[in-house]
Amino acid sequence: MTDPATIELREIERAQDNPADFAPLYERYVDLVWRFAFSRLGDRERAADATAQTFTKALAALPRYEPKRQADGTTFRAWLMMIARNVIVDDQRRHRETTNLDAPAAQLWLTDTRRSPEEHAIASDEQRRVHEALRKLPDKQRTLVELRAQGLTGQEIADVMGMSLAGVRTAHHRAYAKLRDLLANDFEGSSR
Amino acid sequence: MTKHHFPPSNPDEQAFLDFGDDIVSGATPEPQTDLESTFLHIQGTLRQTSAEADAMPADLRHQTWTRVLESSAYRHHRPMRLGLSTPPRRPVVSWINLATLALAAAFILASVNMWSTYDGFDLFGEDVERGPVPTHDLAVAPTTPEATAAVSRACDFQSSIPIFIADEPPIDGPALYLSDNGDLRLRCSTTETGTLLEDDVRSVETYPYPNFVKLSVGSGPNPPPTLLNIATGEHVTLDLTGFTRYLGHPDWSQRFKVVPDQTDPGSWAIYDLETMRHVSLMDIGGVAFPTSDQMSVSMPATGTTMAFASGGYDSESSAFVERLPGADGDILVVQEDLATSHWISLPADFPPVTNFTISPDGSLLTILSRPIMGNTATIGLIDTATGAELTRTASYEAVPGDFTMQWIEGEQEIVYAVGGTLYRLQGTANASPEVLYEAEHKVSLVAQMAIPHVVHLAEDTEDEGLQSLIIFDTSTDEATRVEGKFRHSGFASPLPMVTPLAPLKTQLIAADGTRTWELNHPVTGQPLISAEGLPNATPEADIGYFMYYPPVTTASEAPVSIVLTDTNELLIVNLELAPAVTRTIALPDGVGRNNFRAAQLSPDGRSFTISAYEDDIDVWYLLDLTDAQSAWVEVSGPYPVGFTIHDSNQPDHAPDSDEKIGG
Repeated sequence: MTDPATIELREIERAQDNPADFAPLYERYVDLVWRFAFSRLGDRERAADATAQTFTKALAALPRYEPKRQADGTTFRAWLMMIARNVIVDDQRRHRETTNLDAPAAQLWLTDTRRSPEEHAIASDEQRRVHEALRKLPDKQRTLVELRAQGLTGQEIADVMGMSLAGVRTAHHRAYAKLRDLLANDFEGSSR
Repeated sequence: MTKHHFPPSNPDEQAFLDFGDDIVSGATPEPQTDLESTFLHIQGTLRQTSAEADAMPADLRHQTWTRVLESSAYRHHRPMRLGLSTPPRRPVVSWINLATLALAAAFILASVNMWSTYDGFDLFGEDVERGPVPTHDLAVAPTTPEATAAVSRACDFQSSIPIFIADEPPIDGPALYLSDNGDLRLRCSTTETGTLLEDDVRSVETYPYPNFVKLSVGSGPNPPPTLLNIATGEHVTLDLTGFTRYLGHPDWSQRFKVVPDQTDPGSWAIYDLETMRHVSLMDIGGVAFPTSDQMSVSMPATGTTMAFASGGYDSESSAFVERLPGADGDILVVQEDLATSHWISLPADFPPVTNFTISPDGSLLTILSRPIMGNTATIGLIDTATGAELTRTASYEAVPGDFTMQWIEGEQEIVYAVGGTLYRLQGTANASPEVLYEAEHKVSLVAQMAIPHVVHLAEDTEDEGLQSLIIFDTSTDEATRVEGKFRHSGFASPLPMVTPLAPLKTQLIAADGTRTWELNHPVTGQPLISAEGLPNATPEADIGYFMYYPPVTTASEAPVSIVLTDTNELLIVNLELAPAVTRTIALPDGVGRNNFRAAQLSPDGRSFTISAYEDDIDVWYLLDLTDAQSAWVEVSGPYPVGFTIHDSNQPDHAPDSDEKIGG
C-alpha cells in the first residue's frame, strides 16, 4: 500500500508534466484554500476569486516547485497556503478594507446549522466573542491562529508565513495567550 | 480578578506548539494548562462546521477550476516563430502554422485528458468514491452580443497593450487602464486621456484572443464575465450563472467558446469571437448536446476542424464516448464556418473510446481506449473526412504511466511509447505499428514541443525520480541521449501536454554526488548554459532556479526564453544563436529569489514585467526589451499588470476622439 505522501509526490510530478493532471491536487486542497480565503475575506465572491488565483499561480509555478516529504505528508500544502496567503493579502490591499465579520457572508462561516436554535444562539454568541478577540490580534498572530484552525502544523505555518519555526513557536504562544486574556477580560467585562 | 502570567520559556513555547501539532494531527490530548484549554476552545469555535464553511460550494468549485484551466491555457498560448531546421522528410506546412497547430493540439490534449481523468481524481488511491461529476442544469445562455460599429482609433493593435489598474497610465505610450471610479480607458498616445470603453467596470484582465479583454461589469454580486474587443467596441456577456458542471472541454480555444445554447440553456452551443456569432450544436448536428451529459471537445486553436462527442461513465469511472439518441454517429465533426458538419461512427468492435484528438491539420482523428483503472491501451486512426477507420493497434497491456502518445509535427502519423518501446503509426490504410526505438527501461513521451519530427523521451534509470533524456528525430530515426539526468515523472499522462519551445533542464551528477544543472538545446541536446557558465555563479550554486517562458520573437531578436537564475539575474536565452545567452539583466534593487513573485512577457515580446513582494505588498516593474539600455520602471503598487493579445492581422486605425463606445 503506497503511503499518502508518495501518492501526492507522484501526483505533483504528473501535474508538473501535464497541467490537466493538476486536478487531483485541486480536488484535495480546494476546500482548504477556500476556507482560509473565506475566513480572511468574509465574502463569497472574493474568496472564490482568491481561490482561483491561488491555484492559477500554483499551476504556473508548479514546474519549478520541488516537493519534499514533511512529517506524514509533503510540503505541497504549506507551499499552496503560502500562495493563498499572498493572494489574500493582495486582495485585502486592493479593497483597502479589512474583513467585515458582521457581513452576512462572514456570518455563514460562523453558523452551525446542526444545532438547536437555543444551542445555536449560545454558540453564535461564543463565536462572536472569539472572532472579536481575533480581530484584536496583530495580523500576523491572527493569520497564525486561522492557519491553525485550518489544520496546519507549526512547521507548515512557518513555511506559509515565511517565518522560522522558532518565530512561529513564540508567536503561537503569544497569540493564544493574548486570546486567552482577551476572552477572559471580555467575560469579566460582560459579567460586571 | 488579576491574572499574572510569567514570560514563557522556550520549552513552554515548544510544548505548547507540540500540543497544537498533536491536535491538528488528530490526537486528543487532555489540556494540562489554561493556555491549552484556550487553544482547544479557539480551535473548536473556529472549526464549527457549516455547509458553507466546510466545503467550497459546488458551483464555485467548478467555476474556479475552469478559470484555473483557462488561465493556464493563456500561459501556454503565445505566438511562436522559429527557424530551427531539421531535415524534412516530406513536405511540411510553415513553421507558424505548425506552431499554432501544435499549440492547438496542446489544448485539445489537455482538455480531452481532463475529461478522462476528472472522475474520482485519484489514479492511485483505493478508497475514492467514484461516479459522474455532480451536475446542476442551470446553464444560462450568453446574452445577445451588443455589436457596435467598428470605432477606429490611433492605437497600434499589432502590439501588445499593457493593462493597468491606475487612475493614470504609469508609462508613456499605449495603455489600457481601469481607474478607481470604474472607467476603463484606452490611451493610444501620451497626450490624450484615452477613449472611454466601458464604465462601472470592477475588474479587467487579459483574455487570450487578439484585442479582447475580460471584464467584470456592474455592482451586482458575481456579475457574469463580459468579453470586450477593444479595437471594435463589440462585447458579449457570457452568463454562466448557476452553471456548475465540468466541461469536458474547458474552453481552451481562442476563437471558439463552448457555451449554453441561447435559446435552450439545457444544451450546448458554440460562440465564435471572430464573428460574434452564437450557433447551437443542435442546429449544426441535428441533435442537442444536453448540458446534463459530459461533453468532450477536440478543437484546434485554428478552428479549422472541431469534434464534439457526448459521453458517460462506466463502473471503473472512465469517461467514454456515448452516442446521443437520434444522432447519425458518435462524434460530430464541425468546420470553422459552424455550418459544415458530419457525423463519424466509431468502429463497432473498438473498445470504449476514452479520448479522441484531431490531428493538427484536422485530417485525422485518433481514438484512444485507455480506461483509467484498466491495464490496456488501444489506438485507432480515422480519416476525418470520410469517417473510415484507417488502422488500429493491438490492445497493449499497459498499467497507468506505461503508455503515452503524441502527434508528429508536420506528419500524418503518431508516435506512442509502451513500456520500453517507441512506436510509429502512420495514418494510412492498414498501416502497422513500426518500432522506432527500444530501451532497456520504460520510456515515456514527455511534454511535446512544436518541433517537426522531434520527440523527447524520458527513460527510467536506476536513480529514482531521474530519467535519461533522449531526443529522437523521426525523420532520421536517430536518437540523441542528452548528458546528465532528467527529472520527469514516471507517471506520464497518456497524452502529454504540448509545451512551448524551451530549453531542457538536466542535472549533472558528479562522482561525489554533487549535482549541478545545465540547460540543453531542445533539438540538438547541446548545452546552452550551465551553472559554471554564469557570470556571477558561486561554487556552491546547486540546482538552478528556472523560469521558462514561451519563446517570443522580440522586436530585435529571434525567439527567446527567459530564465531566472540562482544568481538573481534574468537571462535572455536565444534558442537559435550562439552564444545562447544574448542578454543578462539584473533584477531591480531589492528583488531577488527570496521575494520574486511573478513574471510575464508581453505576447509581442517587447516588454517584460515582474513583481516582487516588498514590505508586504507586491510591487510591479516593467522593462522595455526593445531598448538594450532601458531600466526597470516601477509601474504600480500591488495591482497586477497584464497585456492584451495583439492582432498581427489588424490594420492600424485612424485617430479618434474620446467617445464612449460599446456601451
